[in-house]
Amino acid sequence: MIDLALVRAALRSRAEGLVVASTGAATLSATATGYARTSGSFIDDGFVVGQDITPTGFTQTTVCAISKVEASMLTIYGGRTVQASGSGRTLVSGLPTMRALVNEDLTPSVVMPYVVESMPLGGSGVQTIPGRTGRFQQDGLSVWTWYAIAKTGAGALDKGATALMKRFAPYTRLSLSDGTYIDMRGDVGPSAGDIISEAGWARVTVTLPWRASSWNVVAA
Amino acid sequence: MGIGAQMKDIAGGFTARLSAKNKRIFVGVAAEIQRSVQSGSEITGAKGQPVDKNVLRPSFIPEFIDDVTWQTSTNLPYARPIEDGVGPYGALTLRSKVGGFHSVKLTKAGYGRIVAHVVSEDQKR
Repeated sequence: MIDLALVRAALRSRAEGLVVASTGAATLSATATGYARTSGSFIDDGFVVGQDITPTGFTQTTVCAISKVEASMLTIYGGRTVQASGSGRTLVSGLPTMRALVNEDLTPSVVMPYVVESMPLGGSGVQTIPGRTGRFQQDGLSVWTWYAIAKTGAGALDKGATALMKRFAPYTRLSLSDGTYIDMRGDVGPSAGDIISEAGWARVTVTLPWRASSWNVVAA
Repeated sequence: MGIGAQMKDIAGGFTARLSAKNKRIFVGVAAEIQRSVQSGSEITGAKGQPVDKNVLRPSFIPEFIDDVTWQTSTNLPYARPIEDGVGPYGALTLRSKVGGFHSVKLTKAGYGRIVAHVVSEDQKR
């Protein structure tokens, strides 16, 4: 039988490792309005308006969201403490850091994107003979609804949904610590719904179908 | 009757039986999809639509478009948030004692299981 806690942890961990855009280790400075660079391009690195970014190598490493992108300048909501240019710093945008995980509270901020997680279970059954010791399959979905800051366009949602679907590409295998595994399904692949704008937010739902395999064990 | 005519009769009978079987399976799969989306299914794991005033569940209208196309659809604006389990302010709370979220997605993901089930049942005829 499938250990749902392990399945959930594996799917969540994979999603949390998502990278949508990154500067890599770069020479960056913090300005009153965001971040600046003298070489390379924030646009080429994949940053778009509405993404949240996690800074490393700076004094101020609070997560923030992008309000404007230029090749050498990122403007953010709220601004930063000014810090001179330094090397080995990174700015990374991935799965929004504000996450409404299953049965956990989240109070969204109007200037930060966030995601809602769910993991509905699908059909299941023993697939091989003899059934008492056969292979047991459990289907399920990993569903992430990505909320974007109002009026920031479709870029952050499109890029985020695409990156998430790629990270869970069909036939990606996630091994669990109990020796069982999850395969992202190929007969029904990952999909993203249309963007819905409502009540000051825009959102897209990404559906990632998986199938977990384990062995049926009949208790004595 | 010559051997050619006999073969033609056999082939014609086989084709007719195959066509009838295909139709039974097609109709059976459509019925199982409808059940899964509306009321839930042990085959797909879908819980079906939640029920408050019993408006959403019967709003899914099945329709045969042609010999090989069938669809079920609803035009209720709140069907989508119920399907995704989210609204404009985040995750929804399920208050209905029956049904759940994601029934269309789970039915789609369970399509192969539905077909396998219907074919298996048909073979028992």
